[in-house]
Amino acid sequence: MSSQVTAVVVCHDTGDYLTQTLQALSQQTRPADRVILVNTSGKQLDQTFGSAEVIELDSKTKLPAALAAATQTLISSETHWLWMLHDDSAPEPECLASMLSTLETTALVGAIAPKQVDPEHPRIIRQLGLTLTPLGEPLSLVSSELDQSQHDTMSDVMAVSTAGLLVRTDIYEELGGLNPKAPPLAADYDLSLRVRLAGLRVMVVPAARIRHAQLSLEGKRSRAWLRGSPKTAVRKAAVHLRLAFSPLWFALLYWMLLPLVTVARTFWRLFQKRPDRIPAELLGGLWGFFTVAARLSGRAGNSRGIRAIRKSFDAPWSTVRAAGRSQADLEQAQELQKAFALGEHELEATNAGKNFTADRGWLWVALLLAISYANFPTAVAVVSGSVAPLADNWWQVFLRAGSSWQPIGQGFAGPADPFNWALLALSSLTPWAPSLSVGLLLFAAPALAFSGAWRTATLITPKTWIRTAFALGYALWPWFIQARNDASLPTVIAAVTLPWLVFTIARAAGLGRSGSARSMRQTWSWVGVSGLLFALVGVSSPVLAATALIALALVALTRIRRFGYLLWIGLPFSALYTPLAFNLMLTTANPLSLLTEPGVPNSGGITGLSGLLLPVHPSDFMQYGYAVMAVVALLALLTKRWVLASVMWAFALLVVAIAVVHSQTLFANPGGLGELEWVSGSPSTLLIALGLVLLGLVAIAAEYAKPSLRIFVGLTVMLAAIAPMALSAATATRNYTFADDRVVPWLLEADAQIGKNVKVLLLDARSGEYSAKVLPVSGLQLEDNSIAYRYSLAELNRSDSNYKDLAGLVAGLASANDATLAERLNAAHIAYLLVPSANSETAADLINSLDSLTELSSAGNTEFGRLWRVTEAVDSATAEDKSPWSITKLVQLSILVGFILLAVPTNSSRSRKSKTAEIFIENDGDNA
Amino acid sequence: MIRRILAFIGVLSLLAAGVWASPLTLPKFYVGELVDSNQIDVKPRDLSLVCPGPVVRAGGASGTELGVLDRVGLAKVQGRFGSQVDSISGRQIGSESANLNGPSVAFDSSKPYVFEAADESGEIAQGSAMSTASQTQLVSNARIRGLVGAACQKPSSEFWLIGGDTTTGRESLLLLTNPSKVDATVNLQLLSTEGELKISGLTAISVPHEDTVIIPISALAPKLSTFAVHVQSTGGALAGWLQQKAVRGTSAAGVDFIAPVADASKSLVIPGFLVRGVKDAAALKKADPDFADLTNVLRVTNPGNEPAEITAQVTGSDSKTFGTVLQATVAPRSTVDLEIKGLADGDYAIFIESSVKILAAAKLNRTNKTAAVVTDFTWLPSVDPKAGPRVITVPAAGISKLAIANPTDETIEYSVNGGGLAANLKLAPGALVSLLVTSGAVSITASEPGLAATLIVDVDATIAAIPMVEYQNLGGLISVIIR
Repeated sequence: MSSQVTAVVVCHDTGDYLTQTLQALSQQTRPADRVILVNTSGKQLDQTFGSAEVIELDSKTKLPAALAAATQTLISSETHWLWMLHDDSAPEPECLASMLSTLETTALVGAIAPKQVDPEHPRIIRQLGLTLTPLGEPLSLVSSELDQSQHDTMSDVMAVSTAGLLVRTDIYEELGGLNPKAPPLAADYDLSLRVRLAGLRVMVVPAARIRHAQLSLEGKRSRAWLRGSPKTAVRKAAVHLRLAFSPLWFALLYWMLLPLVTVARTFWRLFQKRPDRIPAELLGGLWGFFTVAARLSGRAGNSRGIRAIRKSFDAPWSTVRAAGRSQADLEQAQELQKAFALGEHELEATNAGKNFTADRGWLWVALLLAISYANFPTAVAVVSGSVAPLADNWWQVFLRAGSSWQPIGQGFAGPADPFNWALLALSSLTPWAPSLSVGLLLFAAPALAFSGAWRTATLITPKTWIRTAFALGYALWPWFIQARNDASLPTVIAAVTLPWLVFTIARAAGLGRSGSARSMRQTWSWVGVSGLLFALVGVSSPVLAATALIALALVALTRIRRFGYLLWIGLPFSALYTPLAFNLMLTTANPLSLLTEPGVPNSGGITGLSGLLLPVHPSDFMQYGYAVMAVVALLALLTKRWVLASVMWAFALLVVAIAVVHSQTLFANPGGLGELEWVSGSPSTLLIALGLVLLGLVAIAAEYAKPSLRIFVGLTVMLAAIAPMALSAATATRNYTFADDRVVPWLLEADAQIGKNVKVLLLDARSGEYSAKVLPVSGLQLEDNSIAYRYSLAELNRSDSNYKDLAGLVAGLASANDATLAERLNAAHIAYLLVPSANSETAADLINSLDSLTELSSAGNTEFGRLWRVTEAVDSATAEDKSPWSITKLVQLSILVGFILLAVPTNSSRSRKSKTAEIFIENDGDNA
Repeated sequence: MIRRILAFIGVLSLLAAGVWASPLTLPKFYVGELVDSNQIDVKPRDLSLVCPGPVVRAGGASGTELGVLDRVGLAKVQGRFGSQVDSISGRQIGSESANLNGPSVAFDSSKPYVFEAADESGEIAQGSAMSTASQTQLVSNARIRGLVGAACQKPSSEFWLIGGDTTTGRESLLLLTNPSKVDATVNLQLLSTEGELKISGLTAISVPHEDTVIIPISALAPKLSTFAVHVQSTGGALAGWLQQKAVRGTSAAGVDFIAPVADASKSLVIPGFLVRGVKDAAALKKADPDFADLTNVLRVTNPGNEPAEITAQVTGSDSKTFGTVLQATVAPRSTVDLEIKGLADGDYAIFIESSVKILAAAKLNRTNKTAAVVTDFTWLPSVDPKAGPRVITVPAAGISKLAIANPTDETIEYSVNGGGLAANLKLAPGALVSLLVTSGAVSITASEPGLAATLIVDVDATIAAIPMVEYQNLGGLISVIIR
């Protein structure tokens, strides 16, 4: 008995593709017996299509409903076939004939589909059957492969697409057609699996070809058709299939874990450098979680049958990996073609210069380490007025990073300093002794700065000597060396990171001699690194971050096509800094407070522009090498890169202006006695950034100068700038010492180590005024500094009853005339009193008072001051019920982890480097 | 090229403008606010004063009993308390406290004595007007001869004693009394002309509560002519004196209680430098080298880490006493003696200016060779200039003069009442006056801070100094910042 075929063309768009499809339909060697055109475009068809019947439906009608409308009048029988065609799928003339021919020789076929090829390049196979990965992800068995008949032996598959699908009408009717509850891209899987469960075969016929434009997957249809973006639709399909075709227990478990799975997949997408897929992952996950009832109601029910089908047809991992590589190659090829079309293709520098090793970079690193011998840590912790030891283990530092509850004072609900994340990163170098990492950083800082600056120099010049001079100039920059010798940790971190940040942003933006990244994945990788470095610079020096944002905005404006990438660089910094910024604005209502420097408050003490631009030791004439650099930098304006030089000079002057304003800003340091009541902004980081700009100008001047002048510039820079600065750096005095990482006397440290949760009252007295601070028995480390607390202290002293009670206790101690002292000390869990300084009459009186109290026993002089122990046993405080975790911390951590994953180079992104030629494969299939 | 040159000139112009503007004073921007301190009203602790007790004799009655340190005779203790004080109590150290009938008390004591003046309300301003006490003792035996006097002290955990001598025939004993309920541990520092002495036995000295410990400096640091003792205690607060004794040959030649000096300062004043018997002293020195130390000296200690450039002006009270000026550099953490020569008999005060904070005291000798040769000495401590009503008790024996000096640049008006005086007076800047006072309480009330005073007691050519010091415990409004 001959087969009857009814072709149903579902039309959602009325463009050229529909015309081509209908023409192709009419040119079939074995024409369809009946043609029904279902118009869901919402527009009237402006032409007639022969004998085709037309059904007009609402534009909101989806594919299942459209097909249902068309099949209402079909005869349901084994010999009557429904041929589903999309408006963008034009069958080649032999398509139907080939499929029917196969049906004649093959038994028990329920659904059969042609080979889908690219309409523009018909030798490229778009799809030839569908399957699932072992994890249940949809997978096209063949995708974007050159058709060399290598797949022509394929027949049975797990599923086929509805484009060109020929399905037996009786089965179609029995199964109820396409499942309307299934998301669009899962409907074909759904139908195919049901056909198979009904005991029939699902096949592909490679000899039958259909040119499928895949408008939906290409995102060329309205989003409503797929109910979202193509990527979201793919993800929804995967979630649906997992819930609908897995064993029930697994489906329920999967549903419960879906939020976690979504988060994990989000991070995986970042690791894949595919952040563009993240919205789809999130939307798909949410959709699956909240529409679980619909998914489960559409379950096929025959778990054993599904298992058997999947066992037979699931793609093995090797196929999945091959498909992944193929997809990555395809995407990269498309990106490069797109970039080529936009004129953004990479042109390798004709002379890229040597690499770091060949440039003898390691030799200079070794020399810089050698001249830093005096800074080599001889004990665990660095001790100075600018820095304090870190906690004695990494976990404690981690707990402080991003926390919303600070165990300082009477306990403070407020955001932790973002700088704690930098401390966490630093302490990760020596997690067994976090403080040691500070000493190591200070020791290695010039060498690290050299290597970063060398990278930055590669953006400007391929010449070894210029790169070396640039990097040495930066590593020996007077303000940098001074910051290192003062143990000004935030400044050193920012200074070491800055050149790397400049380099990575340039790479992400495609600036400099090295050209742009070669692929989207590489670009995202640079964006990831840049984001992390920007966060590191920003949390270490907010004023430098503000300046860098101006520079980043300039870069983004000049590289507007990269704006989509560059935009994300600020995300980690924003995530880390926003809670504090919000708090500071609420507390101070002064935007300048956002520029408060982290770490131990340390007065800069610089006044005016003249004070700003003079070295820290004005009589050390060797430090004036920077002035020589500035003079040479002027010559850059006379080179052919004068426009760039002008912009850089303008930026340099802007940096100086910001530095002046910052150094004139006095930040309150309440509770800090004496000179530290107001702390002026330190311009060091800005002056170091200025150095980087000036050195860039010097490099431009040297690179583009005439050869004869270049020798003069080189000699001047080396002899009059670098050499004196090196001598000055080598002979500079270290203003810090090394000690163990305790911040409290041994007696307290011992209590802390046995887990005694008591407090220490730190008392100080100067100028007739007493100040007090409650500390944990383990003391306060560097990560316990809190800018938010600093600005909240005034209000807390004004309005918080706990603070007033403590003030009363302090007055009672000072007057030594309070009969309730023992009770009050016990109630506050204060087991020790520490008076750090006795250098005033008031302090001496205070010591007299404390000595006279029977409630206290003197524990003698310690390196941290005079110590008293509360005579009666003090009850330990109950453990803080405030969790060190918070939503803020989780968000910050998630973003940082995301950017770390984004930054980590993947094999695929690295291995593509040398395969750029492959992008041009078979771009003209019609010639075949 | 023109555009490049224009850019070059433009940048150069901006740089020049920056250099031109660099001396300009820029406005300051302030971010945040400082903390308003919490003002807490507290009642001061009752004021407690400790008197040193009788002089101490080393070696027992024979002078040969090793380790024996006993008290000799009785100290005459005098106290005077404000009429508003609720109760007065006192005790010999280690004994039970007993109530005393005020406002004035006088008795003999064989031990260090502790006074306590209670003010239940806490509203009385503490100071000498509320509670003051002193003691004197005239000792005359074969081994100790001289007049000792002392103002009773408020205990403290740190003080400096400037004076003393441990060369042959000289003996320095450190008397430390702990009247508190807490044991004290004492660390001593001795700063000599060579700097800080590194000797054993100076640290971790225990002073039990309600007890006195006597430390023989002579044994710890013998043959030391110039030094200062820095006492630092942890635990209970202490009162302390250095008992200095001199013997020439076999004759006792003076004794004194050296009291703590005023806090280190760049500007110090030592009132009460009343020089007598200059000719006698010169004659004795000429006749016998053993009298060489009859020279008046100024002892200066520099406790800091920077050298001190000092100028000491010894100013006389009238045109007949010209005084003198001493200049010296005192090395960091060291003590020097500056001989004060060329003075005629008369009343003087010593005004000292220094480049860094220093401590000072002056040794004043007294000689009489009209009958038997009698020599005695006293160490005058520097005294803090104060304001308001102040009181000192004057002993009945001998001649007492209240020496007052004005180290300020302003003329200060003050009144003196008691001790046979009732007058409103003025004291010019840099001037001094010595007022003869009789026994009882003498009060000085100055309108503003600036007057420093010491009572000089002279009994038959023996001499003692009782500095007029103000003690108070912390009370009233206390400023506290919670960080």
